[in-house]
Amino acid sequence: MATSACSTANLQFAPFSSALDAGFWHKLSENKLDVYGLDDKPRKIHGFYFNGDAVGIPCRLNVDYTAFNEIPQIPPNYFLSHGILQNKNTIDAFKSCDKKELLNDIAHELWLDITSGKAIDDPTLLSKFLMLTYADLKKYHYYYWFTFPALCAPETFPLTKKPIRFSERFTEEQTNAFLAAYTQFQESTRGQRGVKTGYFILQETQTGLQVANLKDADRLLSDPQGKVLFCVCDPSTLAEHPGWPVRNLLTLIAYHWADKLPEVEIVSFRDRISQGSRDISHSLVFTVQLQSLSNLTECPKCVGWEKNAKGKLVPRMVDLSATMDPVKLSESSVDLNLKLMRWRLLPELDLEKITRTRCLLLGAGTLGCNVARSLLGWGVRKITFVDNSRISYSNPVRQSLFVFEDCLHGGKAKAEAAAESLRRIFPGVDAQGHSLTIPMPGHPLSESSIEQTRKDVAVLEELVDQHDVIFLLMDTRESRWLPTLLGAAKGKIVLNAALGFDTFLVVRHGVKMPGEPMDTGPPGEAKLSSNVHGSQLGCYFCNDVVAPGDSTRDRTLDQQCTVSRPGMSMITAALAVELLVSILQHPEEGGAPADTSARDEHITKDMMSILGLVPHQIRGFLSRYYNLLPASRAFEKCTACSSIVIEHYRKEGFGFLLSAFNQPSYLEDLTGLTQLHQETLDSEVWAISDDDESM
Amino acid sequence: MVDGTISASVFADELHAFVELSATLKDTWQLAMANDSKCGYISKRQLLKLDQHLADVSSGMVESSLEVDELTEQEVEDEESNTIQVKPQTRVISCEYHVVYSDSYSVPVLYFNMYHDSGKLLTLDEIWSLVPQIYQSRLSQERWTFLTQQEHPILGRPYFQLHPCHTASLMKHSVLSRATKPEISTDTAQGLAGVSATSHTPSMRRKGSYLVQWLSSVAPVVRLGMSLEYGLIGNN
Repeated sequence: MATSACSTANLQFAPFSSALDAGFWHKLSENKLDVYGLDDKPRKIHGFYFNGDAVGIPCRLNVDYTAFNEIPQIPPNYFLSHGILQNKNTIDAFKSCDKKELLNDIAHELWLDITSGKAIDDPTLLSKFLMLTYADLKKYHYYYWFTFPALCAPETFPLTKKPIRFSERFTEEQTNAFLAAYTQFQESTRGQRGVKTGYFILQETQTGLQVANLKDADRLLSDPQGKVLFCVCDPSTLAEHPGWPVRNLLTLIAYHWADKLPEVEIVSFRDRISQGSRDISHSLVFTVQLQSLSNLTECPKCVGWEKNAKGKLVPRMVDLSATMDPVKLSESSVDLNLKLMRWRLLPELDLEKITRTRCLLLGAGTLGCNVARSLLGWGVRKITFVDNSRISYSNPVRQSLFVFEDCLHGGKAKAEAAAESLRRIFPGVDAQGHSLTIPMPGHPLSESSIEQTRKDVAVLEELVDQHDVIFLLMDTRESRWLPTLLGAAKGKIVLNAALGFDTFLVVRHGVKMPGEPMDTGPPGEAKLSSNVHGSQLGCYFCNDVVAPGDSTRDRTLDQQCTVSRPGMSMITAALAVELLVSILQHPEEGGAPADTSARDEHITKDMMSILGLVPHQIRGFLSRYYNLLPASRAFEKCTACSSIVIEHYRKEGFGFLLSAFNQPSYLEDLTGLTQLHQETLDSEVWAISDDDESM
Repeated sequence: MVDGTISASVFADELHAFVELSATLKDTWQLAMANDSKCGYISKRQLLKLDQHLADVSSGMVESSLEVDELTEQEVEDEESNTIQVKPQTRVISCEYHVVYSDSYSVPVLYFNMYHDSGKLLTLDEIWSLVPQIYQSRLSQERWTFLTQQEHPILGRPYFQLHPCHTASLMKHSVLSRATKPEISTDTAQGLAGVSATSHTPSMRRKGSYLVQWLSSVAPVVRLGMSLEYGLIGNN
């Protein structure tokens, strides 16, 4: 403990630093909204400080959620500080309010408490603070500035001796006597408010040590038998400096008793408990020469504004949006819920990958709504809908993002309404809707609609570029053709879900890398190897030997999803999303191999993601509550994903698409399906004639 | 009890006993009664000094205290010679620990928050960075203690939580292993009716010792100070 000559000259004090808890800001926000409104008159609050902190902890004035309580609720062994909250309604009012006047007002109050003797009866009045605040409740930004008023009178506090430790000043016997007296004193003076007194008198006599109230000072000071020491419960842990509460006590002493006490002993009482035992030996005794203030009539100068972390006299700001903004809270809760799954069951689960996967949902009907909800559940943040229809009265019961009101006045546009609904469910989602008609092959375009279609195609192409996964959730087969082609051409993960009455299909399209020729595998090997790599898997159209045409003309019941069993869309949508998550968790993603038989003995390690198999197709039969997991190879003559189709699309762009839309046989001719049909016909004829012969 | 869980009423008894024990040891656990909850909870505040060692761990923990120099239009003159110039201070983190009963798991749960002096809560990542190194490696293997953020069941504000799902199995082993020691006191506590009188009969424990055992095993993970005296007294 190096005590320089300089530092013994005048006593200097360690200022308070403010310590808030989140609960205070919660309560302030609540009060601002429910009680204060625009009324910005000063409010009484409470703070508290402690004289038992470990060495190295700054003097803290705590203000927590109990600050607004009518009756101060002070933790045991803490001491009360009287606060004024000055909450401003605008940042400008916060900036421009007169800080000098604020401090002056509280200084006058303090001065009055001292001169009137009120602070002798209730010494807690010596510890005050003012808190200037502005709460930006839209951003959850809180601006604040504390002042801990201390009167600058006397101007200096000359020390006549070096500060000494309590244990140097008093014997162990005296110390024990003091502690017993102090404990009894606190118990007897706690009063109705249950608040401990942070200021008291220690009278040292021949017979021992007594503890008394400040109001006994006059009597004790005139007692020639004893010596009076003033004691302050001191939040400072510094070896040479007491904390702020000592200052105003010195002013009080100087005003009332300095005439009788040219020199006063101040006990800076520090009361620490560590490992279950009490220690006060580090308390300090300062001997200060006090200039009498009894003739002073003017309120002296006052200081006390708190400096910020950089040592500047400016306000502070704290951004509590992470813990108070309900939108951010809902985001972090959703994330945490998913992380629980990782922490508890699947340490390798890559949730971030799922979260950043951008999903394009083509179709915002029953499948689109349910797929979107499942994606939300997995934490997906970017979901875009494309649909061209409006919400009708039959929709809300099955299409889980819509409600009755959405059907009124002709019905809202489905894509936008679905996106809006998602944002209402979870504001953290980036959901957009596009009302758009997806052009279909075999549905000839009139001259006048070509330009619109050109625009629509451009939008769709851009949307496919901007997303990682394309869900095909439309209600016609041929509307899936263009996005299948776009997904294949751009190397996207495409998930296709389709409903019959009581059957459904979920299929992931083979993922071709852009620029690479389609890999249909070695010819003829299909039967030999049941394991098909993800890049060799077929698309929705690969198993077809007819190009998509106009299916709305002669639709059979099983192609109309609106007459599927109502639970099917939920099952199917859920399976489509879970399949996506399995794909994303597989090291090869879209390249994950699938097995054509899905028999246990055929399953190899490379097929498994951490969530299990990544099947190519899930075909469900609700009548038997049974699912099959077939896999099939890409078809070299496929009208949607074969190399020749993709090449033509890449080379000719919209011109090629236009031919496909307008000419019914264009795609079949191009891919060689027409020729295949011819060959099939020939072989059938041959087969029949063969049969004929055998008869 | 034999499966490591305790009933709400046993928990309430434990709380009272624990708070008494705390007072004996001059610790500062306080009992708080909740309005609509049967058993209330106990709480304790504690300061955590970010010394050199911890400051390294939490170097990324800089408060977002925006430049607010422009926030005051009026120069405030407040310098005077009686105030010491406070050096860039030791960073202090305030910690608040609550022990609350979980009805669904029938075990005590530790809720806690740590915050800067501005009231800003530490993030989950910052909390993890404060978990002592020896537990970091253990936690990555053993999953019985992990941290999540949850709404405090009584206060309704976000708190961190040591998840209770493995507390019962932890306490089962703990209670049984203690039960094999002969010096265990034999006062008959509630909650053990129906336990067959085998050589392992955990015929029991002083009130409060369940909380002492549980809390002392989880406290170090979240830097909650717990005097060794708790264990000594519990065994006497």
